[in-house]
Amino acid sequence: MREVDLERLKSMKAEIDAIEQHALALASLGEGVPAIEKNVRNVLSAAYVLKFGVSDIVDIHKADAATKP
Amino acid sequence: MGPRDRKYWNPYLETLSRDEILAIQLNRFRDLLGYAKTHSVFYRDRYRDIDPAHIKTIEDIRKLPLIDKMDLRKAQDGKEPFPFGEILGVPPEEVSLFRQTSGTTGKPVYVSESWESWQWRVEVWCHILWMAGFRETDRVFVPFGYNVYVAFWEGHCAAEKLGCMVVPGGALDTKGRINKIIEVKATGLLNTPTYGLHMAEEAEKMGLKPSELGVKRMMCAGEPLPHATRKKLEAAWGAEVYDHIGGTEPCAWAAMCGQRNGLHIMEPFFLVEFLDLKDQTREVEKGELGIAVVTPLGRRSFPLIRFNTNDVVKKSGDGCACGRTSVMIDEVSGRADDLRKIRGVLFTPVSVEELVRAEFPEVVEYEIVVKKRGVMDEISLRVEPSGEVSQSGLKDMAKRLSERLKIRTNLTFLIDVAEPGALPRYTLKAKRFRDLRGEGGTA
Repeated sequence: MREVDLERLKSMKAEIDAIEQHALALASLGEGVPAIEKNVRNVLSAAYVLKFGVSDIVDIHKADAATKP
Repeated sequence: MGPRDRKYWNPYLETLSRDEILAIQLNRFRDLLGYAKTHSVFYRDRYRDIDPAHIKTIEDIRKLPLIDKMDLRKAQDGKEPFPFGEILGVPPEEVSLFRQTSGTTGKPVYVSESWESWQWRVEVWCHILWMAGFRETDRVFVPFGYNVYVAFWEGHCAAEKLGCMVVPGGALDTKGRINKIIEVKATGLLNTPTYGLHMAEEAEKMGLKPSELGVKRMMCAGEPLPHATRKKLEAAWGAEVYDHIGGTEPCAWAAMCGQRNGLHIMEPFFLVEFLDLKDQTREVEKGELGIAVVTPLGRRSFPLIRFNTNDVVKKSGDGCACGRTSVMIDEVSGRADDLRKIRGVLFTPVSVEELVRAEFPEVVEYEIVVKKRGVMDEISLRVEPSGEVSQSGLKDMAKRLSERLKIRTNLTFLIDVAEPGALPRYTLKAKRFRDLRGEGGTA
């Protein structure tokens, strides 16, 4: 993995995490409101899918870096 | 940059090194195992003594037991929560979609999809369609009546997600569907191979040339697609024809890229093992036939861990001229439950399809029947030729079929020529092979 690609992926992972956090905060504010709860569910599902394409790659490189002396 | 210039759906994921793919698969496998143990009664009981943290290598995974369709049936039959039973991995109120298997080999399995799991499946299909060249500029027609089976729902939803104009073709007859292809100027089709051939045949009866209807690409589903059948479809439609393999329980787990030379495993979404045909204890070598054992790594509402698909495939290596790095399979040879011993010879119906489609263009439909004659097995091939073959041509065709089948399969076939239109046409899962030996089917 090229360093430039990994940096870009790291930035994307941070945004995905932020989307997830914002969605959870919105769910909390909109608790009991179906229009909020169900749409948040869709956002969280999209974030879950994005993690497969982006965050997973960053995670294995993070783990790799952690084990290097 | 135009849509066709963007080769990959996800350029990072599709060009990972083997080590990177394996690392992601192991991470995801541990996550799935941990999740399944705490959310599914079936896995809680099955993996009681297994700690996901101890799974560090593929060899560790191989120590876990396989599961199959029978296990899923047992986990569902009479078990709560209805109808998914103990396999369910989410609270019942989170299930958005009901799917079921066709029940060809017994009681259907009911498959639960949460919105999250469904979106994961659709994402896999986005990769599949993108690899096959589908883009937002395509008009995709689906000549199929979608229902409780998963067939074509994923393709439909993924094509929508790509931004294609998707036209469902359910409640129409074949003529109506051909007219709809013309009406909407469809550039892409999703259909079974059998139905693709049938539509071409019907279009010709309507005085049309399918290759002039503007269809550029076709994604096939629902049945094995031997090379010869794919070539026949390509010639008929003047289109690129793509194959994939999957099922209701494990999702679509391998598909063709633009090279159309083998199928890419959808790594790292899936962990796919290829185990020997005899007792499924050994990973087969490149070039060897094996049974695909599939773990969909992101699907939590219906968790499957080491699911024996019964699909027999020929394992290939990794790397392809398209640049994708996933492991590939050379061909799909059919289902392990379709492999039969006939007169002591191992036989797979796909071998007949390959031969008929490659060498006998005059055959429009066929059916294989195995019966007992006394104590001996008897295999026959009923063929339906196009109406244009003369009587002497029919005799010659039957003789050549018998000779070529003997060479190809090492079995002597009785050849029976049927009247035009006598054999059934199928829209999903053609049933061209009937083994009546266990049903008192004697000649």
